[in-house]
Amino acid sequence: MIILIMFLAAMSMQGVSSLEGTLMKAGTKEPVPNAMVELRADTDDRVQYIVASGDDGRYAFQNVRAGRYRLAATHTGFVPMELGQRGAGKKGQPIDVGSNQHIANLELVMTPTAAIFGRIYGKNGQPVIKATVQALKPVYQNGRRTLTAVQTALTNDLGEYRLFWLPPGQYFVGVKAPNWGTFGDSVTLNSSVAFSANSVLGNRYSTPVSDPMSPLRSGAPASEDTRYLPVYFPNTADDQAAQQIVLRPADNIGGIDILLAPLRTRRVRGVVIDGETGKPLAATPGFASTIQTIPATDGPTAIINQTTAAFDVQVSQGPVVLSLADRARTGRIELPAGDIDLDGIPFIVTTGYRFAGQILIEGIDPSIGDPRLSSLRVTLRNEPSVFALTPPPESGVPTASGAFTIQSATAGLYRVNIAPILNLATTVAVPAALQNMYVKSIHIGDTDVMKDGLRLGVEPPVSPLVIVIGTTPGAIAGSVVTDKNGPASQVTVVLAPDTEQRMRVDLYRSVTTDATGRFTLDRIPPGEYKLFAWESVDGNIWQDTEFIRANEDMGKAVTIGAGSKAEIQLVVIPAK
Amino acid sequence: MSFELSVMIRVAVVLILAGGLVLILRNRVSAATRHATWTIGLSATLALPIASLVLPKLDLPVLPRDSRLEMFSNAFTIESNTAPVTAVFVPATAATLPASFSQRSTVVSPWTTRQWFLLAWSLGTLFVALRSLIGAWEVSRLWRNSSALIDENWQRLLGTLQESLAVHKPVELRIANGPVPPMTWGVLRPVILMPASADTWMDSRRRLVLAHELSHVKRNDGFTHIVAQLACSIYWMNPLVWFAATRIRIERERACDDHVLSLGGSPSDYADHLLQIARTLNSGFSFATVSMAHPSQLETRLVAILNPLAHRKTLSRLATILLMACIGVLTVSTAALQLTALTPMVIPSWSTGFSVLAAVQAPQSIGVSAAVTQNQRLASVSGSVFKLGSGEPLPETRVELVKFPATTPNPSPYNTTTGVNGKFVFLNVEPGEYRLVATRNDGFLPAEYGQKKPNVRGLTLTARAGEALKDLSLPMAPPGSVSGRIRDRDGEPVGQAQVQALRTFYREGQRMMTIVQSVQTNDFGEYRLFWLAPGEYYITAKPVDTGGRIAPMYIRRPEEQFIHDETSAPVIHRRVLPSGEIREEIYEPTYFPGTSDFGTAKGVAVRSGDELRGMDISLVAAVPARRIRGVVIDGATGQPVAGAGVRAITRKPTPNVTIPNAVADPKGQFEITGASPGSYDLFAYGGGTNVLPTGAVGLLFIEVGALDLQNLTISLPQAFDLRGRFILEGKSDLDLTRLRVNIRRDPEIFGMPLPQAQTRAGEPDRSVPKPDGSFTLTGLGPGDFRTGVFYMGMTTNGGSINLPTGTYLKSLRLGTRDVLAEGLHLESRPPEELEVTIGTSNAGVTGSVVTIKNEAVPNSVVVLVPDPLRRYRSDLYRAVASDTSGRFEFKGVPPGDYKLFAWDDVQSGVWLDPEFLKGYESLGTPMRITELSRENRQLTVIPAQK
Repeated sequence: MIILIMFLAAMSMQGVSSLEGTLMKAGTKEPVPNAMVELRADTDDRVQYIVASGDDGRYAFQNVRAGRYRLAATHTGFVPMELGQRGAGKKGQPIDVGSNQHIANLELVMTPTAAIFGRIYGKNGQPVIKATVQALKPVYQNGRRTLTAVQTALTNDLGEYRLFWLPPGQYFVGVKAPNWGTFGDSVTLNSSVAFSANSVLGNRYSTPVSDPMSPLRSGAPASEDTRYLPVYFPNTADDQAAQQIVLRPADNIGGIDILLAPLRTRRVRGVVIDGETGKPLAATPGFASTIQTIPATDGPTAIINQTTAAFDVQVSQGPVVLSLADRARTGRIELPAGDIDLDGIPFIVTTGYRFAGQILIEGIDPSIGDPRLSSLRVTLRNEPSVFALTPPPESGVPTASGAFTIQSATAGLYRVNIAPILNLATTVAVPAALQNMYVKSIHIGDTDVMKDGLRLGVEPPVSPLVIVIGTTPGAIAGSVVTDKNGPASQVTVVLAPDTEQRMRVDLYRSVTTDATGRFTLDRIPPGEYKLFAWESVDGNIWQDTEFIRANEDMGKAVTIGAGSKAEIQLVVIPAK
Repeated sequence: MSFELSVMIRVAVVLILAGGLVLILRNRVSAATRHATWTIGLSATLALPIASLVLPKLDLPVLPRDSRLEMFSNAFTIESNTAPVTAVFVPATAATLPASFSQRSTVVSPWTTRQWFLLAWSLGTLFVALRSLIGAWEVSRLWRNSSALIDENWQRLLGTLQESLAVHKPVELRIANGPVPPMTWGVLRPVILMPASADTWMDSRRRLVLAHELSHVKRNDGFTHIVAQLACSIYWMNPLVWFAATRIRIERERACDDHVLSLGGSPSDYADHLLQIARTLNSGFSFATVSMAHPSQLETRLVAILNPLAHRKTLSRLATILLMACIGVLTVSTAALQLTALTPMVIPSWSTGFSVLAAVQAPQSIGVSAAVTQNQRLASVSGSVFKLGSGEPLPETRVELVKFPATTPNPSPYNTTTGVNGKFVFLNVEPGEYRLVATRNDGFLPAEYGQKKPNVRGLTLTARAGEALKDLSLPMAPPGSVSGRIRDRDGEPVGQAQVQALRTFYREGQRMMTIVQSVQTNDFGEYRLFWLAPGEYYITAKPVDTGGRIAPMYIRRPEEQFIHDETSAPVIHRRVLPSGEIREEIYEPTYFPGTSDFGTAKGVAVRSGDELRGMDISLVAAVPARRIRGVVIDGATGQPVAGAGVRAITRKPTPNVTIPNAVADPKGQFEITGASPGSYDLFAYGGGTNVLPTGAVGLLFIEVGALDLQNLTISLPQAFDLRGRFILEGKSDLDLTRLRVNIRRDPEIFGMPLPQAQTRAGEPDRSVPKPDGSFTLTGLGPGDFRTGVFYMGMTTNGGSINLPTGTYLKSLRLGTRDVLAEGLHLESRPPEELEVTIGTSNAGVTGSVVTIKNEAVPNSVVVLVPDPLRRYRSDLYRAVASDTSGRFEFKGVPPGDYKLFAWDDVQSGVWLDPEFLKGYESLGTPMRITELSRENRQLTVIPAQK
């Protein structure tokens, strides 16, 4: 502390500087008055100076000590903005403030937020009260689009909702059935802001002291067997069929009305059979095995009867996958669409089988092998991914010659994860010794597993799982320039496989350019690619085939040869 | 071989042939075809004797030629019924049976075995016929007890369906007044009878059921039914005939199901309606259990309906002719094989016939008689739900009939949904006491039968065996809403502000506020509070932390009368002053129309259906936020207490308390931000090695003014135990281990830890009395407390009684101190035990409430108020509502002097407020109650104030 004070005193002795500029509204260039303008320390984001903009949108900082800052402005109804910021959640460009300096004309352009409003109604047109309406953003994972809520609202007694203060961009709107839980509700205001401790210290709920005048409390107004699926605009329960709503700055889009009708369900009953004994599954004491539906919205999780191993689930009438989560055993049933209740379904669960695999390194005789192969781990990931208590089928330690055995495999569709060089869920640091390794192909029999996934049946596969590893990856170094030929920093550079390989999520790469607009990409499997540089891009939307198709012409075709090192210059694709 | 025996054999042969045909065709043909096959087969059996007469005989003189077989006598001729039902049937039956058969005399002597046999046959026939006739009589009774459905909607539907099903006969549509399955009878002038509940059905169900019944008419099932009945009576000895008749009944229903489905519509919808009708007509019926034991007709029908592969064709004329020809040839050949000369067979003169075709037959096959007898043991409840004021019917409203007093709160034994006209019917209701309530989830207050106004208690209904409670009305009141804008001092809209509706309630005589609803404003500053039950509300607004991620909302159904308070940390706003100085400020809640002082806040009266718009609130200016700094030390050791919680609680009465708070650092130091000027109770709790905070808190009374507060020291006292003992006087069924002492701080400050320590997981709860009645309250701290007694797991039974009826808290003493009168002040562990005496009383007070004109007042509030010296004892007050006839009863009243009041309309609990009671003192009826008192009083109601 003392050192800091001395340091600051020393700084102040050197003389102070001033900064000034204007806040303007994007598009119209109108001044933005009454905004909070802050100078944040570049190192720790702490606010050092704060001023308000005047009626003319002008602001000025006096007595600023020398240092590196980022200039930020916030105002209700505008997207929070840092100077030089490209895209939500990214940092702006720092300003180096010297001593006795006067920096003028720092223009900050602020983007007005937008709003979506509409009405949620039931099958007779009646308002649906207290439904949860969400503004959703697409998130791409393994090439699959999922929607995550960035803001929620509850409908009022007229069924009306309003989602507001949304940064311009693409949104989806979804609605969930009212929750009639006992206690309070909450709405998500802004999920892009890091979670701040809930300011509520505590709530107290109590029933009134027994009251001879109180009306009769009736049961739940909704019938117990009524279930609802989340519905997306325009009236679809399929999130993949949801329609995107494009919000431009200051947009106020209404009429986003959604019908929330109860889901027709069917009942599926049966007994969980232990595949080993052929008898009903014996319960693990103190542990309840459950059956889940995939997707989870198709039905609630059901607990299996502890003594009889019977199960009873209400699921949607669409195609449903039932998955059993137990400590030791797994199983799945794929039910086709139908509207008839099913009874007496045997749900066979097993500990699974083993099957063999082989890792080959390109150009190395498998009989010689490579000790590095023992540091790889092969695991199978359920597709679509599902929460399971059992660990995924795994290889254990492959031998130096690359032979491995997958344990506890059960029927299902899987993707192959080869840690640490091919990671599906998380990014893992690749040790130096494995740096030049990349997965070239995975086959089982004639099936290209990297393209089609690994489908396992109830019986072990006859052919081994063959993984071929390449050791001559290519690399790209390059720079991105603006259309005025200046360096484009904080730009997202994306390497996407060529059209035929677009489904290969493992081949996509992205990197952000540095202050000089430079970037590097290494460990690239040889092949045909396209390289893009976007000024501003949402999430990893480039995994959306639609999006990339629309941008196809703006990409630069690149051929990566074995061991090649390409130097490429790109021109940034400006934000729309 | 006797004639009758040969007829029997031939009948069997014909039926076996028909059955064989059905078996061969099985699922390749539709139910209609199978039905036709069986019907033609059965008709052929009737034609057999005649055919044998007409056909050339091949004489095989094995059988004796006498006329003794003419056993059927017209002595059994049954008088026709007067109802039009019979009128319908007479021509039909007469046409079927040659008149020459009806009058035959009987040859009597001598009585051989054969004659005995024939007598038995005829008696059997008579019995079966009689059974049919009883059925016919029941039908005629049903007809009499029904009324014509002349409702326009029904008639229009009937017309459309008749057209689409090509039913050209006039059809009479009637509605029963009881729980009957939908049924059809009559041949020339068919009658369709709908159950009473049909009036409440959705359009889709009406359509399906009517279509089903009309297809019976279309298919002339009335006629085939008579044929089957006839065959059964004549050939009653032949089980094959019965089997054929059963198959006919089953296939007939299936054929009609198919017919309905052929009109379009989803099979699963239809099946659903079928099931639901079956359920409502027999509320005690469980589909699952019955179906598991015996695959019932309903289940097979459902399977057939849902079977996508089933043939659903109706029978074409050609196919019918072909079938008839086929079976005809078989019959003729069977008849021709008959070699004896026949004496004409005598058939009783039928003057009537009937046909009951149940569209829906529950697995236990509700016959008409079954339904009627069941109805005599049970009751029915019906009425309608409509919008209060306009009287507009409210369809698709959930109506529940709940046993009262409640045995289990949920699920309610009876629930249904109103039909298009807002009507509902509960059939087969177990006799008993009920409360009736209607609820909707699209914005109406629940309506309870007998309510004086929305959202208060209703009356109890008594359902008696065999009685129908009719025309009960449940007017539903639309709730109110309040909307407006929240602006700041510059007139700018405030987005994401928290807006709450508060209302008052009485707790132990004190008027308090609770949060009824909490919503957020949008970017225009607009809010809308809705689902508000009529009453007075205070509207309050407060900006929330827009940087936060989650904003609390609190929206409950209007009938859920929870008491809700919230505590939250202050939201600190930073403002840049023109001088460049940054000021920390906080917003205090602003009450409508724009004050932070609750005393000057204006209540908003909301009536049913009100939409109060423009209820704008200008937020009062933010006030400077001060800081409070200090240290928490252990009172015994003087050492700092790391991790102690420190809270500053305002003395302003509000259910939404903003609590500036902090946690002491390892040196015991704390800094609280966001304290607005005012008085606070600053207290510290927990910290150190305590996992769970005890009730021992260090308390300081502070005044925050223009400056930050510095260098405060809060000393945490030592926690201590309080031992006590329950003493039970008299005889009672009290379970000692369920008794607890309830200890609260005095005054009770929301936001402070509980006065006693919580029991840690795995440790025994020492507050549970041991068999000798002793218990220990742990983790208490110094302070003032109020104590009471409660009984674990006791459901509320009216009034603020916390002990089961017949027992009461007699005294609570600590040494010589009367804790009930003086309160409990503790500094440290007291040397004495807390002595809790529970008394018993059998005293009862009954009576009735009348108006000054001596008319009974139902649903008034009768309150037993203790004498002025004991008015501080909230546990001695008793309140009940008067019943339909104005009567009331108190049981187990603690001995003492009381005053009895009867209010027509009064806010609950307000009678504990001495100020309120002052105005009514002279209207009370004084009485003295001893342990064995039996008092009876007639009270004059205190009318509601306008």
